Amino acid sequence: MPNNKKESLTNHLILLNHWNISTVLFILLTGVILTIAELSGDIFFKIISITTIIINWFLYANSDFKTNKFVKNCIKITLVFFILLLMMYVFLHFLNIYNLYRFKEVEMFCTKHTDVCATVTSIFFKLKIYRFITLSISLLLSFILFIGGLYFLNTYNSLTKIYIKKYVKSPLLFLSLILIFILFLNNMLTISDKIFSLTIKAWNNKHLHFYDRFVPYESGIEHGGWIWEYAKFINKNTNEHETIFVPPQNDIWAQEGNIHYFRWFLYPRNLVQSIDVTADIPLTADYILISRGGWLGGKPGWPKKMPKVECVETIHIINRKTLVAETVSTVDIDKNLNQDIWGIIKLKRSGNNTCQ
Amino acid sequence: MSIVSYIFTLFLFFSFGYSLSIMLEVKHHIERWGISWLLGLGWGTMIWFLSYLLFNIPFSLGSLFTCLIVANITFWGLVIVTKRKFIRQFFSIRNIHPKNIILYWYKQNNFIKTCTVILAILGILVLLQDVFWPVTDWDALALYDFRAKVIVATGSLQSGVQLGYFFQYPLFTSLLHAATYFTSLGNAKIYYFIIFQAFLAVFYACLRKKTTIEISAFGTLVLATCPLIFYHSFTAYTNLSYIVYACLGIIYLWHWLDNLKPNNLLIGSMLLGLSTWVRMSEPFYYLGLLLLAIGMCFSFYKKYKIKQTLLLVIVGACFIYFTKYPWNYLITILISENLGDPLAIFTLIKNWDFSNVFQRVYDVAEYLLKYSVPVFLWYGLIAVIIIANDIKNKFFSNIIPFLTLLITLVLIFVGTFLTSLWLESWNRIGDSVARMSLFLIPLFIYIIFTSKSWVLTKDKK
Repeated sequence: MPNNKKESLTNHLILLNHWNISTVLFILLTGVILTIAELSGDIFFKIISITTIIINWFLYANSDFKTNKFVKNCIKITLVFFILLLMMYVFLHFLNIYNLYRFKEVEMFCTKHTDVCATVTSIFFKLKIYRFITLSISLLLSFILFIGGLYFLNTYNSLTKIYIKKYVKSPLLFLSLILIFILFLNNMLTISDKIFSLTIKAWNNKHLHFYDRFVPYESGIEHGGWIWEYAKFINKNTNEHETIFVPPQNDIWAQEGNIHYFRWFLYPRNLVQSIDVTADIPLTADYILISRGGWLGGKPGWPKKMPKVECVETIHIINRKTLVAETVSTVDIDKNLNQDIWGIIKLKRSGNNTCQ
Repeated sequence: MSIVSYIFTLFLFFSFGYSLSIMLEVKHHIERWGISWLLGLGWGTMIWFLSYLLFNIPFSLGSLFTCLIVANITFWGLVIVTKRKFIRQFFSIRNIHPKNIILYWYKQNNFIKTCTVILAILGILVLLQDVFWPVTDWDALALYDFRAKVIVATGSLQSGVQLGYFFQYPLFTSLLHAATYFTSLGNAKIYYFIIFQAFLAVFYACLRKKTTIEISAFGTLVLATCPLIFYHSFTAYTNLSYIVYACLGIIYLWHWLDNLKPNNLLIGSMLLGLSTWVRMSEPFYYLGLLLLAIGMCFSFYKKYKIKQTLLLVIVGACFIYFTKYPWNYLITILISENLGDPLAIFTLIKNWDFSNVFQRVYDVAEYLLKYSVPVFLWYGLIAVIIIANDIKNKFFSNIIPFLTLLITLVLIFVGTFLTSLWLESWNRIGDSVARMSLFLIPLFIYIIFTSKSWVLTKDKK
């Protein structure tokens, strides 16, 4: 057989050696496992996927692919592709494509060209482009970290050879290195999800007044953010330095029943409470909170009984969903105390009337 | 005007801290940047509190500015008088010119550049969160930020007696919030970004004294990306500040044990003492006293500047133990109770019944395994493997640090056991125990990355 044909065959055999075959197989396996980890959201698969990335790096470091120009270029192109994909993903999230009508230009355009907008929307849903937006940023980052690691191994070929040679000699050191990389990659991916979602939340709520941002941070008025709007309403309808009778602290009134928490919202007003949900109105109280209670368990609605009619000066209530406030009569409230009512009762006291 | 006074406040804190860093002969630029912030914020708020405690000066923006300006004048005056020969070195424009800093960074290898770019991105994202969101965290609203509101409204702490649940923790974080609110701005959480970035800067500098630039950069990145610590950089709790001051204090004392240099002892003692100005209930500052005692023994053994070391140990011990004294004194006057001293636990235990001691030990161990151990398990495991490798290769530089952490684990167990004897709900505050254990993570990371096992022979210079 001629020499150059022999050399070509030898080169092919080199490419087919065990490190190279293992590397190719693991690259494919990594892609599969990363996808499974993303779809399942399971921490176990996440750790497995990170471990396969590291094994892949190790196999690649020992393979001949690092010296292959074609492979090196493929890695560069793949890395650039995933970085561009990440940038597009971030852009689409900042654009908030589910709320494009907030831009006047978009609204005007779609009013004039209804067909175009309908077609675009249809393509968006038919091609399931939303699936791309609902991916987690940690998935894209994990691909970038994986390919980035391979790119780094290409660039620092001789340096990594020296370090691997040293660290592989000591099993304990090698084990530590693997564990450090697993820890680091896992941490990077964990924080990326949280910081990204907070950043997008900040972007979508940048129009809000500084203190009103409490509401979206605590997941809106359907959840913990309600306490801010509720407190604003109470502050508007009460005087400073007066005393408000609030429900007891338990699972139903976890926020408004926690005096040390709730006082932050209402200071310098004083808060008084009893552990007994049917307790009498304290003599020092100038107001009584009306609180349905926003948490699970038990029987919602407070106070359990209304004060005497002659003690009530005004009753203000607020609709939790619309935030519309109104003034109502004692009769209306008495009927509806156990329902979804939020508000404040202003008491008027005369003589020794305890208002019970 | 609000932003101007806010920036001026930050400048005064930093400038004061910078003068202290010069007095303490901190030479590394990045280290000096971080130490300046930490000492400036810590001692600046302490001086502000002392002006209220000793001279009845109500808390206000004016009193804050006065305290910081007087502190700046005093310590810069001391710098000019005592550190004249170092001033030219510290203020070398060539070294701190942005163009030279960028050029220095550009000359580094891609690995360093990647680490610094990731750290910068993380820093920007943390700053964004701290600037954008108001204080929303439960404990902050219930105590730390509420106290700031009361301080701004009344200029004093007197109404805290009536309000209740007011004196459980020292005033450090509340005064930082109050300093912001006095300027009419609401972004109190910026201080947590400042403390976080200062932490990373000093941590990097501490690693750099022991290992290569690449390992130091990567170690700092591992610390910055630790989720529990990262999340606390935009949470208005005392935990991050406590971790920063306590961990760096311990690390500087470890450095002092290596070289017995006075500035390491003084910086370590100050930082550890300031950790009691953040939180007082954890007993970890006693570790500092233990390290001082060990250092004293080293000095005797090596016959190295014994008198000077003894004097410095006394000064260091005073910093560690007595920094909490002003706050202790105030709450004793106001509410006749000592809420924060860990040793006060012995007065709270009424029933020293040890008949079920084995069951209680088991319960405590189970409780800690569930809530405390998972926090630092990975880091502890890696540190154990590294230490085993170090011992195998006869590298003993990290043995004392590792033993310090073992003693800390024992302290956590003993402290929890004693708490279980008087507090009925001792095992229903798992989240609190988990946050207390965060303190161990940076120390384990430090031990991992300062191991001599990582360094190749040609890098050991």
